[in-house]
Amino acid sequence: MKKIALMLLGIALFGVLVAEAQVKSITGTVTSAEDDMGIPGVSVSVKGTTIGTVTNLDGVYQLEVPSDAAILVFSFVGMKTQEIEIRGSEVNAVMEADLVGIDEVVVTAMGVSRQKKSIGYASTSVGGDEISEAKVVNPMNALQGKVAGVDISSAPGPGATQNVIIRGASSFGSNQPLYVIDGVPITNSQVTTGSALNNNVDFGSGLNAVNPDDIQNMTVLKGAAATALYGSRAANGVILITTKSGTNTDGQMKISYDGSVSMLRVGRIPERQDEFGQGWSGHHALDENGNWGPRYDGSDRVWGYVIDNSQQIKPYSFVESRIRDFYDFGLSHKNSVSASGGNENTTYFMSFSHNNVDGVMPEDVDTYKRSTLSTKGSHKWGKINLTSSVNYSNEKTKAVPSGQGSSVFRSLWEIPEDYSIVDLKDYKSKFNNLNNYFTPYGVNPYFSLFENGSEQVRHKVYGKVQADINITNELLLTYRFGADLESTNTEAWQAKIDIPTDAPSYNDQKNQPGNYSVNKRTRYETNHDAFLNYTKDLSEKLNLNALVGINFNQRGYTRVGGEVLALDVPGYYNLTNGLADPIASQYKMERRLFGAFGNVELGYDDYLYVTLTARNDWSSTLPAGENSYFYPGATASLVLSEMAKKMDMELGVIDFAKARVAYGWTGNDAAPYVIYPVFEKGYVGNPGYPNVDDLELPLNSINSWMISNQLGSPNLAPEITKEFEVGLEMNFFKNRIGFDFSYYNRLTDGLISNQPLDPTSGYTSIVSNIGDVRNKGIEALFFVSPVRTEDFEWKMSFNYSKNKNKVETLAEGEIFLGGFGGAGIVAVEGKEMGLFKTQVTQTVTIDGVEHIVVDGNGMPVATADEVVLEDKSVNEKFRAGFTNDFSYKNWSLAATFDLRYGGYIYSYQKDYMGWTGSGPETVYNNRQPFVIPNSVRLVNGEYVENDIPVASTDLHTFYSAGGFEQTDNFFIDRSYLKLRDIVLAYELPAGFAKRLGVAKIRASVVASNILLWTPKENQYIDPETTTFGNDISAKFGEFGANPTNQSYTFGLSVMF
Amino acid sequence: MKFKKIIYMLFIAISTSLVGCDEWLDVNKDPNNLSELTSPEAVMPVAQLAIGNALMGWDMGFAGALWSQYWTQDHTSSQFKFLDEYDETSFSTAYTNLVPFALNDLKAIKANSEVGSGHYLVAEALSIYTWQVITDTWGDIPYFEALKGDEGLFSPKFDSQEQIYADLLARVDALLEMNFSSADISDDYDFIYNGNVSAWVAFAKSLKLKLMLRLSETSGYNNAEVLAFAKEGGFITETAKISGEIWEPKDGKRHPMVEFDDAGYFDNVIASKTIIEFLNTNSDPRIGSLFTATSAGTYVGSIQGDFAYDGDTDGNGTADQDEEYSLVEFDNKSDLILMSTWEVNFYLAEVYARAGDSAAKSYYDAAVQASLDYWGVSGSVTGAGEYAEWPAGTVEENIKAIAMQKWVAYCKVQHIESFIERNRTKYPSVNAVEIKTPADRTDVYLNFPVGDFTISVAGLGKLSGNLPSSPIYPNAVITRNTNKPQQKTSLGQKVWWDQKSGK
Repeated sequence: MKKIALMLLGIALFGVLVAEAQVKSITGTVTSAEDDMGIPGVSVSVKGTTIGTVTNLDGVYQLEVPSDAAILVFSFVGMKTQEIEIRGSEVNAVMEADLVGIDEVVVTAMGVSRQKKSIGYASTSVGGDEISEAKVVNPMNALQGKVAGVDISSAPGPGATQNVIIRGASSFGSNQPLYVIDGVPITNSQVTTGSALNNNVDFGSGLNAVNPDDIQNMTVLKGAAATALYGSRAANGVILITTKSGTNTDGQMKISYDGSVSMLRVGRIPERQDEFGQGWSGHHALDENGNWGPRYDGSDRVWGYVIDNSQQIKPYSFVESRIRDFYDFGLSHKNSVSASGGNENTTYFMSFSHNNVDGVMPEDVDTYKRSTLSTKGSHKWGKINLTSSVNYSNEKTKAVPSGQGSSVFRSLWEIPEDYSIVDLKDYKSKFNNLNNYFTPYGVNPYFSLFENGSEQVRHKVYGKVQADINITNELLLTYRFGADLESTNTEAWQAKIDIPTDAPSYNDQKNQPGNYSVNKRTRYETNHDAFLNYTKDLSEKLNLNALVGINFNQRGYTRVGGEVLALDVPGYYNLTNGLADPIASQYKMERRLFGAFGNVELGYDDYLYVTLTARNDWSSTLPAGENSYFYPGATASLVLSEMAKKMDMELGVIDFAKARVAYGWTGNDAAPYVIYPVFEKGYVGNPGYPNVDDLELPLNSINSWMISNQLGSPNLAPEITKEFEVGLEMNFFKNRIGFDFSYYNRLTDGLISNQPLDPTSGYTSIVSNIGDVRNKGIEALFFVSPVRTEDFEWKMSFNYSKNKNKVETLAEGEIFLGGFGGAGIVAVEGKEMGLFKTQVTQTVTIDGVEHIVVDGNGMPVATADEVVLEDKSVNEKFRAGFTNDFSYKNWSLAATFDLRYGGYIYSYQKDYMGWTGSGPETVYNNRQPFVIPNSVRLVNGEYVENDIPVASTDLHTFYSAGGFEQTDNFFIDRSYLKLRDIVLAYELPAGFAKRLGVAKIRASVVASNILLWTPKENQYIDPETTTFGNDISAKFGEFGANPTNQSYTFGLSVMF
Repeated sequence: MKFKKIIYMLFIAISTSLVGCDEWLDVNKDPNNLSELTSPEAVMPVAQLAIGNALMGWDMGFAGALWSQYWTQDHTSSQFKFLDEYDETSFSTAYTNLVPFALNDLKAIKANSEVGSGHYLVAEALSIYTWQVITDTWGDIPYFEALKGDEGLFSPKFDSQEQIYADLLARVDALLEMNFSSADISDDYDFIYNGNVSAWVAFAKSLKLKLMLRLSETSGYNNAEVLAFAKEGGFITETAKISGEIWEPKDGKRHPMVEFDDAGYFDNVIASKTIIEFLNTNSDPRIGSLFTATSAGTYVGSIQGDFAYDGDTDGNGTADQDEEYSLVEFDNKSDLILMSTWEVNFYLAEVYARAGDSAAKSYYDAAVQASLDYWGVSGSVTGAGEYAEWPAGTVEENIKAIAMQKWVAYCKVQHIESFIERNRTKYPSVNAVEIKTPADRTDVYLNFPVGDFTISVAGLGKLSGNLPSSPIYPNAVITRNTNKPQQKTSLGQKVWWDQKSGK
C-alpha cells in the first residue's frame, strides 16, 4: 500500500511539472445547442494531457495551454464530448445533449463495429463507467436490473457464479450465453464441489476472471439474427465484452486508479416463531434439537448435559437476533490501477487489480481473493495493424459448504430458538465440544464452520493476437488467434467426528469418518478467425459492406481427482491419510468446430440498411457425415427520421425513429461423446442416499464392464433456434423522452436433452432431439428526463420484459430439469418449461365437494406418485427494472430497482424449519391437536368423515411433510422487488482537481441489495438464491443455501 | 502484388484445411469409456451382482423383510415407516438393477455367444430367472418388446403374467434340450458357480421347477406333470449364490446390507415380534444367527409397525420407544443367494406333498436341515416331537408346514422370495386381531398369535386389513412408457398367479 501511495505521489508531481511548461492563453464560451445559453462547469482540457479547467457561470473559460497544444476536449455530464482544434486564441464550443447516441457505434458479432442505426435487431450496450461505478466483483452483476430481457441472478458466497439467461430458457441443458471478449470466446464453465444437496460449494465460473474496471463496453446480443454469425454456439445469446485500450495521447501516459472498500452484511434471515422452545412432541427435553417443547415462560432453566458436576443455566425464552449475530460483517476491498497511452502508431493499456473479499461467515472461512493483470497493445506499421491482449487472473476462494448433513446451515437450524448461538463459539470448550454438545442430533455449527471447508485456486490466462491488413482502402484482412487457458485446483474436506459411545452426545449417525478430495481441472479453448472485410460505396447513396471468413475452434477439458472417504489422523487432509486407498478418477474431453461465415450489409442513403448473414458449421460432436449445419439470418433497419429528413418532411417533436425487423437461425451442437455406444466400467446402482455407495467392481480381483445405461444416439442433430424479431425506437422532445420496443418469437427446434427412458428398454437414457420450445415476448425500454437545467438533471429509465415459454412438442412424457428425489421441476408438452412436481395431499371429491384424505392418525395422505403442478412454475410473469438518476453539479445519485413478479421457488429452509418447529406456521392452533378441516378417511374401502385429530406428538411429522399441502407447501412465491443498488457520487471540480495535480477524482458510495420485498408467504429466503448450479436447474430453488448479502461500498477513482 | 499473394495463400490454406476437416473433426470417441469389448462374457459379473444386489438390496431386501415380518421400523427413527405403513412403493432401484444392469447385459452375452455355449447357458438361465423375479414382483410388465432400446423401441408393450410365464417355461425347456457336454465357462467371470457347467444345468432344471410350482394356484396347474419332472432329478446340490468371500470392507465393495448398515440405515430396523415369538416359542436354534440378543440375553421383538406408540406395551416400566429390542447385524462375509438348496427341497417336498406322496417328508427334512447347516447351528427341529416335525397330515397341513419353515429359512437371505411365496401359499396366515388401543396391545402382548402375521399397526387402515401384494410400477416406467397401463392404486393388487383365497 505504501508503495502505491509513493507511486501515486510521483505521478502527481509529474503532472504538476508538465503544467509548468511553455504556455499560451486560450479563451472561449461553451453554449448549449438547445438554447444557446452558456453552460457552466464544462470541463475543458488539452487532449492527451492533464491540463484543463472548467467554465464559469456564463460558460466562459480561460486556459493556459502549452504552445504546441493542438486540440481541446470539452466534456460535460449528459452532453456529447467534443474535440475542437485550436485555431487562434479563441475556441468556442456548442454542446449537444447525449441521451441516446444516434451515431453511436456498437460492436456486433465477430467484433465488427457498426453504426447503431444500421442494426436491425435489439442490442443493448452498457458502458464501462456504469460497470465500474457498480463496484462489483463480477461484471455481470453490474447489469442486474438494467437490461431488458436478461435475467441475471447470483448465488450467495464470495466469488460465486452468475446465472445469466437471455430471453427465457429454451434449452433443457445449458442456457448460458456465449461470452466473447475482444472477439475471442472464453470458457465460462462453473466449478462446484459436492452435489446440490450435500456439501455444495459454488466456486464461480470463468467470467469471474474479468476485472470490471478493464471493461470499455458490454453489449448483449439477444436474438438469433444478431448472433447467427456465431452459428452453433450462440443459441442462448452472446455477451460481447470490449476491454479498454490505449488511445493516441501523443505519448502521454494516462493513469487511473479505482479503489473501493465494502462492508457486507447478511440479507434475509427467516422469520421464526417465538412462542415454543426446545423439546419434542410437546415435552421439554434438554437433548432435543427441535422447537417442539412447551411455551416459553422466561424462567431460568438448566440446559445441556451435566459435565463435571456442573450444568449451564439460561432463561427459557426466544432469542431474537441469534442467527444474525452468528454472521459477521464481511469486508471487501479492491484496488485497481491502469496505465495507458500511445501515439499515432502505437497504443498500450495495462492494468492491475486486486480484490479481497471476506464474506459474512465468522472469521475468514469464506474469502475470495482475486488478482488480475491485463495488457493490451497495438502497433500500426504501414498497412498492417497488430493488436494483442494478454490477461491473467488468479483467484483463491474459500467457501462454506451448504446442504444437509453436518453443514453449517443444518447445524444452525438444529439449535432450538431459546439458545444463543454465539455462545457456542468456543467449540472446544467443556460444554460445547462435540462429545458434550447439548444434542446428539446435531453438531456445533462452529465445529462445522471451522473444521469443514473447501478451497479453490484458479489461474486463467486469456487473450489474443490480431493482425488487420489493409490490402486496399476497401479491403481489410483480419486474422485473430485467441486462447483461454484455465486451471483449477479444488479441495474439499469434512472433519472426522468420532464421539465415544459413552459420551453424552453420542449418536451413531452423528459420527463421520471424515473425507478429503482434491480435483485438478484444466480447460482450454483456442480460436482462430480469419476474415476479409470489403467496404465500397457502390453509388452515392448505396454502400456495401461484406465480410467472409472462417473459424476454427477447439475446446478441451481434463480432470484428475482423488479422494479418501475415511480419514485416519483427524485434521490432516491429504490423500495419504485414508483408512482405505484413495479413489482416483479422471475425465477428459475434446471438441472441435469449424465454421465458414459471411455477412453482407447494404446501406441506402443513410436510412435503410439490409444485412444478410450466413454461417455453416461442422462440429465434432455430431454424427460423422451429418455434422454440417447452416445458419442464415437477415435483418433490416429503417431510420424513419432520417428518411423523413431526406424527403424534407417536418418531424415535429420526433427526433429519431427507427423500425427494425430480423429473422435468423442459430444452433447448439451436442455435448461430446453421446453419439456412439460405450461400455462403462462395471457398477450396480444403489439409491443416491447419503453415505450409500454404488456397488463397484473390481471385486475379488475381478473387473468387469457393462453396456452403458445411456444409449448411443447415432441420429443426433443440432438444436436449431429460429427467431423473428421486430422493434421500434423513437426519441422525442429533443431526446428527452424515448423508448425502444422489441417483440420476439423464438422457436428452438429439436432441443437436445438427455431423454430418460423406461428402463424396460434396457437403457435408462439417450441424448436426443427431444422437443421444441417456443419463447416469445416483449422487451421495452422507456426513458425520460423530467428535469434538465444547467445544474440539475433527473433521468429516469424503465425497462420491462415479459417472456412466455411453451414446450410445444416433447418425445418424452416429461423431462426432469432439476431438483432432487421428492421434488423437482419438469418440462411437459404443451406447458411452460419448469413446472414443479412433487407429492401433494390426496384429495377426493364426494358429492362435488373436495376433501383432504387423511390416514388413521388424522394426518394428510400424500399422493402415491409425484404430481405435476400445472399452476406452479419457476418462470416469472414479468421482470422490470427502474433506474432514477439525479445529477446536480458534480453530484450524482442513482438508484436501480429490480422487480420480478410471479413464479415459484423451492425452499429447503422452509422445509427444515417445519421439521425443527421454528417456522411461524407451526404454531397453528397453539399446537393443540386439530382435526384437519374437511377431511375424510378411508375405512373398509369407503370414505368417512374424519374425526381423528393430528396429535401434538405428530406435529413435527405433519409440518416436515409440508403440513396441509405436503411438499407443495415448500414451493413459495419467488416474486421480489430489490433495491439493487443506490449510488451517490461526487466528482471533484476540474479546477480543484487540477490543483491537486490530477485530471479527475470521483468518490462514490454504493449500497447494493439493501432492500428486499417479498410476498407474505415468503418470509424465508432471498428468492435469488440457489444451490442447483447455474442454469434452468438453478431456478428450482435452494437446498440449505447460505444467506445472500447486502453490501455498502465506498469507492474512489482518480485519473491522472 | 504482395497482398494478392497473401490472399492466394490464404485460400490454399482454407481449401487444404477443408479437405482435412473430417479427420480433424474425428475426436468424438469417448476416451473415458471402452468403445469395444472383445469378450462378451466380461459383462457377466455386473449382471450377476445386479441380480444379487436387487434381491437383498435397497428395495427388496428391506421391503421383503418388513412385509415378511422379520423386521419392523424402529420407534425413534423414520426411514422405513413407509413400508410398515403400506404406502405405495415401487421398488424402482431393484427394477433398474434387474433390467438395464442385469437383463440388458445378459442379452448382449447371448447375442454374442454361440447358442449352446457355456456363456449362453449362464446368460439364458439367469435371464429366465430374472424375468421370473420381475413378473413375480410386479405382475404384468413389458416382456416381449423389452430390451429393444437399441432398436429404437422405447415404449415396450405390457404383457400379461400368464403369457410371460408361458414363454419363460418354453425358454427353459429349450435351454434344457441343448447339449452342454462340451461347453465351458470362463471362471474369471462367474461369481456364482465358478464356471461349473453342470451346476448351471442343474440351476436351469431347478429354475424350471420353481417356474412350474409358482403356478400352483392357477387353473392350468398340473401337479402330476410337475411330479414327473421332479422325479427326473438333477436339481442343484449347491446353493446358487455370490459368495460373501468377495466383499471388501470398503465403500462400494460391501454386501449391500452391510453397505446400508455402514450408512446408518440399520438404526431404523428392529426385530419384529412376529418372527421373534415364533422362534422363541419353538426354541429354534437359528434365532441367534438371525438376530442379536438383548443385554439380558433374550430376544425381543416389537409389534409390527407399532413405531408411533409411545406407551409401554409390556408394562415393564420402560416405554416402547426406550425398550431394548433385538437388532439385525450383517457380516461382511454374507452371501447373496439366488437359489438355495433348501428352497429347491421345499419345492420338491411340496410337489410330493400335493401328490400325497410320503417322499415329501425326506425333502422337507433335508430342506430344514440345509437351512440349519447354512447357519452352522447344531441340533435339529424336525425330529420326532420337535416343533417342526413333518406333520404327515392333510395336503394343506403339509403345505403349511413347508411354508412355515420356508418363512424361517428365508429370513436374512431370501427376503423377496419369502414375500412372494407367502403370497402364493398364504402361510404364515394373518391373524384378525386389530391393534389400535393400549388395551389391544396388552391383549396381544399377553396372547400373541404365535406363527401368524399381524397387520402392521401403521398400515392397518391402508389396505383394509390386508397385507401388501405387489409394489406399484416404477415411476420411470409409468412416466416414460407411452404404452403404460393405469398405475396401480395401492399395494393391494395381486399378480395373476396369486389366486389362493385368504389374506
